[in-house]
Amino acid sequence: MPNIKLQSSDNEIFEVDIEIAKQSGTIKTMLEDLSVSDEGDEEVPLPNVNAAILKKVIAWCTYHKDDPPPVEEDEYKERRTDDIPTWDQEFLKVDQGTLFEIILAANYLDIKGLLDVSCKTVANMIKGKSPEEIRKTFNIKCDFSAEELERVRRENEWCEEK
Amino acid sequence: QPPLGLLDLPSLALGQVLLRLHSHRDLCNLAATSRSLRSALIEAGDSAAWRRLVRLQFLPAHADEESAVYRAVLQSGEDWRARYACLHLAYRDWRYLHARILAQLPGPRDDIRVNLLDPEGAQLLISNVANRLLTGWSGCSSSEYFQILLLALNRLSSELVLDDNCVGDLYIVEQLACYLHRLRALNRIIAIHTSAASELSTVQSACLLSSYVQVKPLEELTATVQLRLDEIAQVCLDSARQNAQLAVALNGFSIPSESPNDQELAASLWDSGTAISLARCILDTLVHKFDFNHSLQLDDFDENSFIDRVLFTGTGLPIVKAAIFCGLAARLGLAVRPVNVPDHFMCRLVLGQDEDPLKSSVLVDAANSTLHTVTDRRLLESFGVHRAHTGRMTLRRMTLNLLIGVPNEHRDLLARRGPRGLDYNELHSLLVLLFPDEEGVLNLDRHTQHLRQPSMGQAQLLAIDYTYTAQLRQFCSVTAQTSAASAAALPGYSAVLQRIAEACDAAKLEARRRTRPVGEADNSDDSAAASATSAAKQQPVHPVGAVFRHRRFGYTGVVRGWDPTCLATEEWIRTMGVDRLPRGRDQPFYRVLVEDGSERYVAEENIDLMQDSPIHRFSAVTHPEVGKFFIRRHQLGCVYLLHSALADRYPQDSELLQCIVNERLAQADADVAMQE
Repeated sequence: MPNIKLQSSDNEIFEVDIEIAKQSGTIKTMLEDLSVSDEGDEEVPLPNVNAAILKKVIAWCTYHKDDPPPVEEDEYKERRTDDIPTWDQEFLKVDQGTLFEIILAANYLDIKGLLDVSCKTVANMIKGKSPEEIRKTFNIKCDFSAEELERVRRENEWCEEK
Repeated sequence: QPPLGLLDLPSLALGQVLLRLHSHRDLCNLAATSRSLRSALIEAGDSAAWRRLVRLQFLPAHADEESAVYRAVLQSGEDWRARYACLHLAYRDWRYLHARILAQLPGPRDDIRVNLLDPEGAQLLISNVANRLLTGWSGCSSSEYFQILLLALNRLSSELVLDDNCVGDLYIVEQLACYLHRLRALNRIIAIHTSAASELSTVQSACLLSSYVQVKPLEELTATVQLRLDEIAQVCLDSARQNAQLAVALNGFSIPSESPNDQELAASLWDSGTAISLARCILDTLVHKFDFNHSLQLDDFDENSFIDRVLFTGTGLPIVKAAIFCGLAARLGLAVRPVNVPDHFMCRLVLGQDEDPLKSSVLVDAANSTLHTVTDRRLLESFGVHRAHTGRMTLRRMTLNLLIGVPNEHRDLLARRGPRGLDYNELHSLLVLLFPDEEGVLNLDRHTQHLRQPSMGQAQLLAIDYTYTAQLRQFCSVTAQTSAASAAALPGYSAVLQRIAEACDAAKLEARRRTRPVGEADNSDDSAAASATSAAKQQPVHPVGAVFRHRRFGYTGVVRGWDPTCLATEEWIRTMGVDRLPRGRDQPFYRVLVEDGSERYVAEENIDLMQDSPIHRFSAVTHPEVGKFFIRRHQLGCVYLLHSALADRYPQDSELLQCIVNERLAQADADVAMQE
């Protein structure tokens, strides 16, 4: 298997099996459309991903290299969030900063599977929580004025169960 | 560099997280945390997350952006969040009810995701509920069950989903609600019938019938009737006190707070003289203070048959007035007994415990406001004053009145009153259930003769819908299931039901056989094909579903079927002077539903689609059976959209309907252009 060299934003080079790297839609397109040679020694620059995160992303892609290609998500089907594989759950047991970095990287690199599990993980952290609990979980500062708080309460009145 | 937080995610990435939240509450709670999340979720209300939730919860999978459902959803709010909120509120209670209904119904709990904005969805739901109800009937009988279902149906019909244009769904809802109501009433009647202990008062009998036929809740109706009787009784008492003698006798008397049962009062509280004066006073008060009159018009037969109406109009059948008198008399301490006089109905005043009613009886004729002292023993015997006349017998007499007391020419009228009106067959079922004896069956034979009458012309036959027979048939089988328990208590009961069912089948067969040779298209599928092929040379120009005005008589109606030529009997053709029409009998004839509730047969040359009148001139055709043939009224009002069965029968008509609509739209555009 030929390898490809990926260059992180902080100029670290990772040599990766080309089939593994192609799980990224972005890299795949670069290789195919922008005629970046897959034989040559040129590095593919990834200016939006730092080395620490790129390492995680490559680890995820390596573990999932034999996965079937992701199915097109049906917009009209409810997406489950309780089906994150155990390995991924363990993999995503990281601090929030890293988790969000992974989401950004997965989004930028267009890795559907990784984006899906990482977003699901965040979604699960939100589900069923009150606004206060969500603030606490994500360390969000409540920057509403008293007036705004009242307006928000009114805005959400309709979904209170009777 | 500080670690990345949720708020630092660019909107695209945040959107990916939001897409994985499936509850509106999570989205709302998130929006309530901080300004930036609020602005992402509320101010940018078009967010994909809300749109997706609407999609998931309220739109059927097949609805594309062109579909009516989708457009209806778009109109429900300014952005996707508002739309979700609007739909959520509209359906919250409904879904709760729906869940309860499904939980109570037998059968698999398959989760049907029904969308009520989608007319098909609503129909699916109703038929689902109805099917389960009809097939699994024996398993559930609690009154709560009915309450929920009726409530749900009422809701469904009042929700924004089923506007007045959804004629098809409204029809089904109404039919089903009626059906449920009557089944409930029947259960009650059977219960009363089988328990010897409770005897119906005359007033209760009148209420039962009134509730059953008019499809009004019994409790409510009874309460209204008792209240009105209390009110009238008080006025009677006050007028009685104007009379010096009565005032002395009535000293200290007040009307009991609980409505007394006239059948249970053994003897009057008063001596004979007072009792007679008091009865006289009740009659006079009714005439002078409550406009009780002696006129009786048979075309208002139902008005006159129902105690809850007669109490307010003062016009009524003798038996209903007698029931009112019984109710008032019992309140004023008078013992009275109903007397079933041939062709009339009266009451007898019970003057003493051990009197001999055959020797001398005071009869109260409430219909004519007169009192008679009768001493002719033979006459009294023929009136049956010495025999008890129970509430059940009163109910029977009242039902018979409706069933056979109606003059023949009014019967079709009754039968065509639509979903809520009197139904000949249902009355019959009631009678048979109350009195499962030979007489019931005899009467049924008379009824089926109505269908079989050889002298009846084609035109009349057209007016009779076989579904009535079908309904009765279904009614029998369902009732047979329901009352399996009481069947043991009523010998011969099942046999009677069986015989009705057979008679229905026979009547249906007979009716089909009679109509087939002349090519009646509407109730027989195979002859429709035949008439369609012979229609090649005489293709009608107006499609089924078109709203029209009659060129000569000016009434409005909607086409519900057509024949390539006039297929009525010779007799009808002669009577109506069809051959004097410019185009004669060899032109297409249309079967139409008219706004006055009638169904007619109209020559093509008399059909005017009013293409030149402005669209706002079109009002809904309020025939009660419009919903039986059409799904909905087009928003332009000029056409009704066909039910699939009807569309299959008239394959080209839907296209023609579309042409009418398109022409109208083009015309409207042209008008706008003109004005500009």
